[in-house]
Amino acid sequence: MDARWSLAAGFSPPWWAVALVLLGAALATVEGIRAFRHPPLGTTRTRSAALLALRLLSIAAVVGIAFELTLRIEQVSPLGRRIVVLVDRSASMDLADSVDADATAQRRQARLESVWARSAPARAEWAEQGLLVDVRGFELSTTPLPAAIAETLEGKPIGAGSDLAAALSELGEADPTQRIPVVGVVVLSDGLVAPDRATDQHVLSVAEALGVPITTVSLGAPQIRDISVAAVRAGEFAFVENVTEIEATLVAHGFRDKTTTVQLRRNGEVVFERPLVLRGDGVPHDVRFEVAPDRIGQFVYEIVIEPLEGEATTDNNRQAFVQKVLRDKVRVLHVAGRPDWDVRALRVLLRRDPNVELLSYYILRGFDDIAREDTTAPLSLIPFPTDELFEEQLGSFDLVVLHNFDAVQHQVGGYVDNIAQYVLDGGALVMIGGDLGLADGGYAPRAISSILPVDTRTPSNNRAGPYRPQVSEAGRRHPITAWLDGAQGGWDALPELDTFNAMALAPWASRVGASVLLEHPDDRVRDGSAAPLLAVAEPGQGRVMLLATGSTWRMGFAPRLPLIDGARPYDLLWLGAIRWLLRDDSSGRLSLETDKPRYRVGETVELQARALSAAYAPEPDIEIPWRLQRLDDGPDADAVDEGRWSTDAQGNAAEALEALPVGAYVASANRQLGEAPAASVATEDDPGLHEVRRVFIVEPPGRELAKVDADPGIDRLQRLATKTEGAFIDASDDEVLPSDLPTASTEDGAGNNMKVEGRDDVALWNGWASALLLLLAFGGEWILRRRTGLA
Amino acid sequence: MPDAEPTVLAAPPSHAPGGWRPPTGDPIRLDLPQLRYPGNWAPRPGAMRVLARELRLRTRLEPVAEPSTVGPIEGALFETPFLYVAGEGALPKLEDEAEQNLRRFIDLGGLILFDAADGGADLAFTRSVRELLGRIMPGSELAPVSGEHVVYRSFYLVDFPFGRTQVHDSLLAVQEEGRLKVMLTRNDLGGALAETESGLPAYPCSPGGSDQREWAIRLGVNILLYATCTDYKADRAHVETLLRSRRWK
Repeated sequence: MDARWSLAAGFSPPWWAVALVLLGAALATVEGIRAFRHPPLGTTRTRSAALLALRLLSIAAVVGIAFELTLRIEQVSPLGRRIVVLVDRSASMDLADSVDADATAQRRQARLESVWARSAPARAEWAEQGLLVDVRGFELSTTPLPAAIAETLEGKPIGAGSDLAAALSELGEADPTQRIPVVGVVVLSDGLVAPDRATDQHVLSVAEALGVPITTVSLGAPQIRDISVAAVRAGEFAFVENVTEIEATLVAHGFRDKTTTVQLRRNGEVVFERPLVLRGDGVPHDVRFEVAPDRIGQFVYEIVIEPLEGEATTDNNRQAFVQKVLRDKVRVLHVAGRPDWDVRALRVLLRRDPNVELLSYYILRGFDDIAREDTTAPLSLIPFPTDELFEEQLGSFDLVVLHNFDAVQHQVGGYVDNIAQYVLDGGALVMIGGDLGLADGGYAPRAISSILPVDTRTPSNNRAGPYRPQVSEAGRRHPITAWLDGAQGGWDALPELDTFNAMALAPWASRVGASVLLEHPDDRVRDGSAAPLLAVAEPGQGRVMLLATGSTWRMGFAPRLPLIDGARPYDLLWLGAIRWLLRDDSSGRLSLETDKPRYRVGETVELQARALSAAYAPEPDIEIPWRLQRLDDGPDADAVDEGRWSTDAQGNAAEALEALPVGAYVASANRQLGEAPAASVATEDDPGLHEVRRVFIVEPPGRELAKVDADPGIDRLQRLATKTEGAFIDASDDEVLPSDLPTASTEDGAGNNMKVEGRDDVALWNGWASALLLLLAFGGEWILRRRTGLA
Repeated sequence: MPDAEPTVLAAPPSHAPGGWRPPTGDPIRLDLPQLRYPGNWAPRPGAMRVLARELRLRTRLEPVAEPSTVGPIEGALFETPFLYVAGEGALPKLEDEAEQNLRRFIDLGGLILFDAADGGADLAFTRSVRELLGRIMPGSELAPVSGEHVVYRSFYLVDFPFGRTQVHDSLLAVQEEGRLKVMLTRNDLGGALAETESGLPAYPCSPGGSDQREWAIRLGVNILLYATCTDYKADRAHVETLLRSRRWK
């Protein structure tokens, strides 16, 4: 232990005072020295020296008192030196590779344990040199390894990434709990710690800034057998029926000229599949898929490579992403039994919207007209393609409008089953009354009648005559007609309608979630309730609207037509209807959402459900069974999690899903709209059961296994060692750690890096001794000056 | 199918489900109202009646048997979004309220068909129509309708705006917002349609005679099919492309 002396100032006066004191001291010193060098006549050399000494003593006393100087005596000893060993614990360390194609592959983790064991003599030598070894594991974060693990470095590396830059940065930060300085770093890794050039540069910058040598031990080897999905490029959004491109870059090592299969899957189902012949080692293969989504929604797509035998890992053979498919254009089929002003009005409305792709078929002449036809007259008429529309291509439409359409007369009666199934599968259907369509019983067959909100089993003739509809209680809240509740005067301010097909509400109305929004003011059905004029239903996955009049065009053509929020009532009614039919409004009877489409592993997934009544009021106490499945496992697989909700007063229910492993998931929930069917009439496809689904993915924070080739890592570790004047060790070459590890110097000229064992402070400015000293110095000089005749 | 080999149905279709029966309720009838105004508003009486009849016989439209007449300030003007205005010589200046009503009629989506009974012999009617439109639709222009316009193929394939005469080779129209808002036939369409009480043509068509009359009727049918279907027949040109570009579920 050594003693270290220093002076410490107990008081720091303002700068001007310091300047004044120092100036005074300087002037006094200069004067004293001048007087000593040029003493007055009769003054001996001894007396001049004594005067100078007394002068200097008094100056020192003044300065000491002014700055409250303290003499500090410290007992110090050296702190010691520390080596930090950073051990890569990421998943890439679990891969097996080899020095050459003929050698047996060895796991990088095994290589780590081997080099550490072989380096035991070197490590013992470090201890003798007084180096303290601090072993830490690094992946995305850094944690000290327990002593038992630090001895062997055993373990299964499963880290989702390897952030060496962060691990080195931590060493450069001041740690109040750790006073032993770091004089060197050893990094044991495969070097795959930077996915791109920018991160690579960052690692080197942080390493250089640390200011100590970094010895790197490369644990990777040049030869590996693996195929990976290195990157996927796809838009976050796509549009229905618009081609979108999904590109993937695949990288293969060690499988030259082998063939594998690349699949594009959507929600677990294979969409495309193609063979791929693998080229040279590390050569990227770009694969492109062109997809035209056929429906809106949120989907999990996945690129999957069929594994080949001997791959180092198959965890990187797939990559998933979420894509939201939006509606680009709404495809509407408008079929009318006869041209009239109502058909014209709806057509004009639909044609005006650039987002609508309209396909129209209007029956321009009947069979009796054909009978009277002048066969020489050139006609622009074309056959009505019933097969093509109602068999082959029905599913391509977002909305089908049967406008006063007598299906049977035009051989569409045989396709009503198809139309019903189209709705159950998620399609939207509008049926508009008049003198033809609902008046001939053509929609009586069970398949179609059972999905409609009104009873079409009995024909309903058109009745002409003016009337003003009434808005029902449900209509006041429903998105299609709620605006009427807000319109001044309700329907009283709107034009009268003048055609009506009187029908009763269907007996199965509750089963299909039917709701009457507008009623005839006078007509009553058998049970005494008002006859429906506009009714909606949600059979299966679809939506239906039935309008028992062909005269809504009058809501857009009247002498004193009121505008509501700047829009014609006709436009408000139909645009609202189309939005509801196409589910463009977000408030369906049951909705299921997650708070986001992608999650990092470890994040909580929030499932949120909402139930609304047919009148679009929040629906409490609704039982909603839900389940969570992995997409890969298929629709019949066991649920990962499931439960049963009961909605609260606001119609809401939620679930927090924790600790979901990496993968793609589908959450589903369902509810019964209205009453459940009786067992005797239950059908396989219950139109009253409404199910919603939501997909999402849980992914690792980084793409640790996207690129597994060790060559870039080996190169990176070499550069790191060179840049920081450390040593580079190639474990695959059976090299070991050096006994004489490159380290930094521990002490600087200021004597830092010493440990203070004890301290003694002697105050020079207070107490009787300093006062006496001051008195003697000033008094002594004065007395001596008088004696020599200078004062 | 209606446009295939005709089959006259005297009984319900054989494929009709049980419970099917022909409709027996009130048919939805279309009116073809004609504007009454001070002056010679009906130079060709009964023209619209004949057109209504021909529409009933040739198409699935169901016009009323006796089209109505309507004054420009009557609320009934808005009962039908179609208005026939015939005249010979200059149209009289209408009251402001009448002209405002016509403007509103067009703005709400109505179609006005002006028919010059002079058949090309006098430009006064055409000139007065332009003046009227200049007041109720300032900035709009009556311009020739292209021979490719859908009105020429909305039912029949017609390549000339036949009327009682063949003086002018084009219809004139105000075409805005993708539709014909106002049309003017200058070859006296009404003259070709009008009949005597005994049902014979009231006016000879020149130079084509009865063949020309037939073509004029076809033009009239086309105009009303256009009025009810707008540019439906223009859709059809794209149908194959639309169908082929789709990808199905």
